Amino acid sequence: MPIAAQQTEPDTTPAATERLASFSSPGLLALEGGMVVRGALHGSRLAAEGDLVFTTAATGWGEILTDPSYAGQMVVLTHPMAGSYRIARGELESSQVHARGLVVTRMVDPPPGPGLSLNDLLVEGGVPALSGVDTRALTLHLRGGAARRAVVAPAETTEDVAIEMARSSVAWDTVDHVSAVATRDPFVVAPVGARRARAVLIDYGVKRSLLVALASRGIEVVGMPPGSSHADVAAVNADIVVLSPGPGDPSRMSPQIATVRALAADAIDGGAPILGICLGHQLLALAAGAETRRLAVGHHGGNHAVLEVATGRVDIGAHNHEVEVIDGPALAAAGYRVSHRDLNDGTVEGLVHGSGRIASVQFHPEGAPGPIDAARVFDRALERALA
Amino acid sequence: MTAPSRVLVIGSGPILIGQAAEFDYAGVQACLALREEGIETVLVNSNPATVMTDPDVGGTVIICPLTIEHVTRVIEEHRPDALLPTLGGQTGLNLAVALDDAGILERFGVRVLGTPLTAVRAAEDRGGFRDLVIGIGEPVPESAVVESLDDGMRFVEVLNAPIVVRPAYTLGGGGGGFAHTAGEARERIVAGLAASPIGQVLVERSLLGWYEIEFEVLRDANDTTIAICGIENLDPMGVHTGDSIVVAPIQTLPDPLVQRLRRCALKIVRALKLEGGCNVQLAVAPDGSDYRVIEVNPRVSRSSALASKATGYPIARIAALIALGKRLHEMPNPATGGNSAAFEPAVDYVVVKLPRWPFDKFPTADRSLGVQMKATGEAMAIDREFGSALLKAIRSLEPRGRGWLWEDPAWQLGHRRPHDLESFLAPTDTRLWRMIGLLRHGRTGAPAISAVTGIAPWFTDRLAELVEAESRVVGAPLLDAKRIGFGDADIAALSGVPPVAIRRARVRAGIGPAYRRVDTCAGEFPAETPYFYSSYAEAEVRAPAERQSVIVVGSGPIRIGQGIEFDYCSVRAAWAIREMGLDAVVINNNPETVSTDYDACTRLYFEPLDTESVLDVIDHERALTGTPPAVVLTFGGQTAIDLAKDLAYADVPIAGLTAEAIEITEDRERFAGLLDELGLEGPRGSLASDADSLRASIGALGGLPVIVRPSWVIGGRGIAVLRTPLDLASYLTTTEIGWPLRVDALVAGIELDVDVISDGTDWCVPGILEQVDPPGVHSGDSVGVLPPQHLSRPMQERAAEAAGRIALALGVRGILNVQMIASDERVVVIEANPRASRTVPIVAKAVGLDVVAAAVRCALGATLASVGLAAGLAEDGGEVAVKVPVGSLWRLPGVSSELGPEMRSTGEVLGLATSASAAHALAREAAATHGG
Repeated sequence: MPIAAQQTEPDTTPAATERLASFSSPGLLALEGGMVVRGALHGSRLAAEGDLVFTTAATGWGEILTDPSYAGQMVVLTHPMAGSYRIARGELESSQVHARGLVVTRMVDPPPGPGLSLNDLLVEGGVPALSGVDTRALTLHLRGGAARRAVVAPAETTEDVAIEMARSSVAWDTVDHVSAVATRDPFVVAPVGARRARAVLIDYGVKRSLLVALASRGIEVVGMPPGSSHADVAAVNADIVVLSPGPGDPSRMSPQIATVRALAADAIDGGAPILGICLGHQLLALAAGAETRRLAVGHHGGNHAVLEVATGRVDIGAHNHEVEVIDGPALAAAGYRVSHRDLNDGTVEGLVHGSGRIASVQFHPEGAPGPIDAARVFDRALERALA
Repeated sequence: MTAPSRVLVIGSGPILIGQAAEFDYAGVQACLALREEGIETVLVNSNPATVMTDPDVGGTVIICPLTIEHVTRVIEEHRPDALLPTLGGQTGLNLAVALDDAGILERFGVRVLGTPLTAVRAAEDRGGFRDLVIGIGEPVPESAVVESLDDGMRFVEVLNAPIVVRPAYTLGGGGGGFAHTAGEARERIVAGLAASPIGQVLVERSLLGWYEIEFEVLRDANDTTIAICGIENLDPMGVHTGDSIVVAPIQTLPDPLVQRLRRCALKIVRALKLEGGCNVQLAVAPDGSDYRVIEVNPRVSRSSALASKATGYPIARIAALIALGKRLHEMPNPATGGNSAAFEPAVDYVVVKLPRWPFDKFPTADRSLGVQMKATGEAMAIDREFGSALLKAIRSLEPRGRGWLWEDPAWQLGHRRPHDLESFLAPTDTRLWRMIGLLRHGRTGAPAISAVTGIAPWFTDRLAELVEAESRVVGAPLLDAKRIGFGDADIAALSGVPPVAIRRARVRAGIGPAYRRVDTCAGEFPAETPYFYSSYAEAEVRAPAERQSVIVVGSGPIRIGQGIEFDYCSVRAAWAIREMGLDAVVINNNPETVSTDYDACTRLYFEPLDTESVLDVIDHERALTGTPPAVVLTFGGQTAIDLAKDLAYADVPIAGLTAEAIEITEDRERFAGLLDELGLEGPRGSLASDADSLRASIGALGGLPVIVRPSWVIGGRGIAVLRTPLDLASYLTTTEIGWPLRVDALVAGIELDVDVISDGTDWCVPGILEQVDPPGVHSGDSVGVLPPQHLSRPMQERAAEAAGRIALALGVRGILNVQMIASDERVVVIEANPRASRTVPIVAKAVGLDVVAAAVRCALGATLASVGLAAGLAEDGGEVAVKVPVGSLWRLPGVSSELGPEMRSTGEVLGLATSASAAHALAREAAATHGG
């Protein structure tokens, strides 16, 4: 009897329940304002503190966690499903995790295969993620102006203690994050193919993708530590100076601002032209006498459009900045005009000097995560370098 | 570019499989956007059941066949100076190209707005498109045209991958097929060369099993190009995207790959120099290492409607403005009111779309899914996670017992593992439930299902998670099950209690959903979009609503028998309510439609149309406004009416209608009693509880022919006409009969569809539709004419009066549809439906009256006089309207095209003329244009 045979057939297939979610333990998130959210702790089981920022990027957790610009920050993902795919090592933006923690709605175990799971990366980086958090509610709370210092901690921590930890944590903008993440020694990135130009890049916390964007255009990149002096940089004798992105509040970086001021003066005088990106853009503005301030809501994501004022060209860009350059008279007085603006909120997203030898963008033309629609920023920089 | 002053908009004609309500949505958005710019519109369409064909939307509306001759005449008469071709689906686009080819546009100085026709041609010409894509360095499926086996095998050797062979010039791809090995390839090429009359085959790389990804892209004349939404098909390549389970945003691919695909899509749209919307379809190798460009649709589409509803970004509206030469970054942000429409929506939820297939109506149809679309409609659901969105989408299909827990007993999954997993999991309408069943019974794991189906492991893992969660529902806190997304009905079934017990438990414990805003920006900016979805999450800050709200319950996915006409009714109802100074609240889940455009109402809830979700919205609206909302069920077809009993049980008053009245109309015995009381003639009939009593009943009626139907008829299902003893025998042996049956004599005569509007005291019949086909043919499949051509005015008045008296006796305020047969001097009432019917838009168009507005106002307490209607049967207008049904049956192998009491057509066209014969001719011509 076929039916009987089937009924006695041993059930060798795995049960649907076999693959459990990765191990987690109860945890909580406490904000300095007193808000406490409970969830499940993944990755490191140690408490972490940092400023909460939210990103609207739906993918790219590996890039985000390892981007040095997130140093000192805990990242809230508005997209509710995190960890869905495995992360190739080549996607990482640096050799270590820089974000202090991650706050997500749902942590998904990716299917088996090569590459790291998000949980693997958290464990490797020694940082926690808290899942089970209604990140939209948290995002609306942060958007509404909530104070951002926060703690992710195991659930054993009492709420009062956790809130107190958040309140006594070191404010993000009072710390020198740059020297913690940037290179200590000069390094060289070889160009892809024949060398067309040499760039000296002052590393305040550069991303791999930026180096790749330059190298792939035939640019040899000489990376220098953030404390490099004007003379150090000049000694490289490069065709262009690149001021890299990086973490933290630029206004506290007086030595670097002075160096940038000197480099800018050189550039205007016909010395090596300058390309500033993100923190580098902010330092250029500060060097020109302009001011910066923290945005009410930082830009983190890959969906804002940026208008190139001179051409009317519009590009979707990858954004990752807590600080903006204030569009004041100092910029014009120093010979700069605003070259790019964010179309959502009018934020200054780029500057160009009247000499044509200095250009900077606040957004990330190298993407990662996010679009690289405005990658011609690099092509133009190369043209300037070769001119 | 100077702005045009009068723009011709071409609609998409009748609803067909593959061309549904999405083009009414696109057309309405476009027309309203043009009018806001002060531009006149001239709209041509043959489909009367559309919102776009109302003059307050379409402007100058011409209902005519969508042919070159007719549209040329419209151009000649109305002299538009521009044409917007990309909003009327493939029909509208083809017609625009044909008008251009014929030199009509040039002759009358009509310029084409938006995407130039050269770009349309470039995108639609397969060879040209292929060359263009290769020219910009993007990959297309490798292929070679060969005339010998040697040449074919040389290509196969170099390719070293599975192929598909397509012989040239054979009908329906005969002689072609897939090959995975060199041996198979040899066989296929030999067979293909033999099958082709010119001995030529196309050998192409097979992408069967690759993942299918789509991008909805907008581009303006400034070359600003943005991807509104990335869409992931759960079903891999090989299943038409219209038949696929679809998820947005893309869930399973890493950022570098998403960016690569997005860049490819943008690059193609830029290379084509499109100005407007475009859909780009890409295939991705399962290991993510490679991709191919499949095709583009240089126009708005079903996918762009889905993307609009999934993100809150109104693609068609913006595409229309782009066509006028506006630039994305200069237009205001449609959702946040911010400075710019140039941004890519960020979503903080997951969207799942499930197709709705007509196989319930056609059990004999071939249920396999492939490259030819078979679904008539779709339902979409939004929630924070994939699992809860999927569960909600299943509820939105109105599963009638085929919910998450459904299994076909024939699968015997409780007893055994299927012999052949591959054939068990071949793409069909039930594959989702088969996968769930396998996991539930532990017959196989998620990885094995992915291996067999090619569905990305991420998705099968989520199904396995849901199955695992299902096993923990009983005994766990109710809130946990609700957070995972299980419906009250599922939890009830698992717990062995009635669904109402779950609701009661929820109410007691204060467990209910919060409503989240679809804001296009994942909460980054304040937004005012009145567009919400439910989630078991924290409540969002609520906008204070002060006014009385009126909830219009929509009609869900389009299916045969419940089509776009109910969307028309829902939209007109919402507009009328808004005009009354009330908050018009719409609940619906069909992403194609106008009614799910948040601009069409005061608040939109994108939700399943089941008791649970509708009551939840009612509770939420009550909390929001401080007043119990009025609930209108009469415009959402049978879907909405079916909720009446449960709403009444929950003490929710229904506007203009009682559950009692509905029950009388649905219970044939009680309805017969009502007719007796009113002295109206109904069909003489009786109930039969088995085959013997059926034969006895037939005898008592004087023999065949008879019409039989289940006593509780839902949507006309299970009805049959028995004309001969052979019919009776085959009915008894081959049909699954829902006893008891109501058996009625088939009355010979003229079938009439009478829509009556009543204020509770007086009634008005604005028009009567005469069904031309004989009784026994479903009225939806019958040619209809208004006013009746074979019936005297006194007889029409008698029919109208019968309908009016039934409405008053039932206490209906609003609208009632009565079907009757006029036989000599007799009027025999067949049935009454206490809701708007398929005929409403036809009556509205034919007599030029906003029937729905009048009905909804009466339902909310207005009198006939106050809505400007005179009591009684209205005078005939000057025009005759003829409706002709149009079907998509040719798309469904295994379905007979013979007409009967089961409806088969998917759409309809209208002919309007001063004489019946002219109207008939127009309607026939319009139907013929669409294969009807």
